[in-house]
Amino acid sequence: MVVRIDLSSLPRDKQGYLTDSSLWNEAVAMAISQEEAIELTEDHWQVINYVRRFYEEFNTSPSIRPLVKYLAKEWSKEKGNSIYLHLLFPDGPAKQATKIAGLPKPARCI
Amino acid sequence: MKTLYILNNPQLFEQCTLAMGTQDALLLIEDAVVLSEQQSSDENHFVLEEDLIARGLNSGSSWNKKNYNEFVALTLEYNKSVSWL
Amino acid sequence: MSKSLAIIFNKAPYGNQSGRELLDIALMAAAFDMEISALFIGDGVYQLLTNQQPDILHMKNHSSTYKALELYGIETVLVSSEDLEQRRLSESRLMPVSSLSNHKQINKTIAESDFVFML
Repeated sequence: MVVRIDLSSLPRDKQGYLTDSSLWNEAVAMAISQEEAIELTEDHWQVINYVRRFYEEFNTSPSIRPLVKYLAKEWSKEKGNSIYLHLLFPDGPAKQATKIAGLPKPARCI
Repeated sequence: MKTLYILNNPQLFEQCTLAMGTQDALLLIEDAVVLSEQQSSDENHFVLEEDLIARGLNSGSSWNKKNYNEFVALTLEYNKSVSWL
Repeated sequence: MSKSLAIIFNKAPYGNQSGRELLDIALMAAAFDMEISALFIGDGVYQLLTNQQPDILHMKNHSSTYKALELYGIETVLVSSEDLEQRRLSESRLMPVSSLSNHKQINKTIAESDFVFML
């Protein structure tokens, strides 16, 4: 049973990032991922959860390089590389994963 | 006449204490709370507890701690307050 | 050859935004593959204390972001032992993110950097 979320009822910035990460839940993630045209697989969820953990641990949204290092260390050496992450999040892993994870845009996303 | 000196700039400790009379008291706030680990305490020396906690300095200081409410009470206890910025 | 950047933290946190802003600069510069050193001198050594709780002042805790420096490829993180000692601080009260150094070494790092930032 999928709960539909009306994204327009949530406070978001111009680029679609939640402005209050505490409002995030899995239904919100699914709704944002639809906007991004991404179908969430188990590996997407893993990345999203690690991105949220990164934010909790370091109080900042990760850009791509630290995200890759963090995933390689904490999750999986095979999957924690930028090629695989780009397959999961074609528009940019740091940019899209943080958005789906309900976090602020990484300030130094280039 | 007793005055409460409120200091927030750690660079100005000497200047501020030189201006103080024997009846006066000193309260460290904001960045100046770091001085409470560097300078010896005195019965007329106070430090704002919330600013210590924010900076992870709460356990290291031997100075008399005042929280925000006590800070207000302290300003009432003295004839006037001087903010040393 | 990549340019080098020294970022100098010399103020205690939360009385002003300089710590947080310098951190932002460091993490941003890291994305450009610059060779970055983060240097903690004077009251800047207080930036690295454990157990900071600025939420009591309704401020964001940027201290945990220092723990991410290594993930951003910033490996030269030096703290002045003279300045710690002068403030009666031992290394054990700091987050384990920096290496103990001294004025001489830190000054050398500054002199050898292409750019130097301090706020």
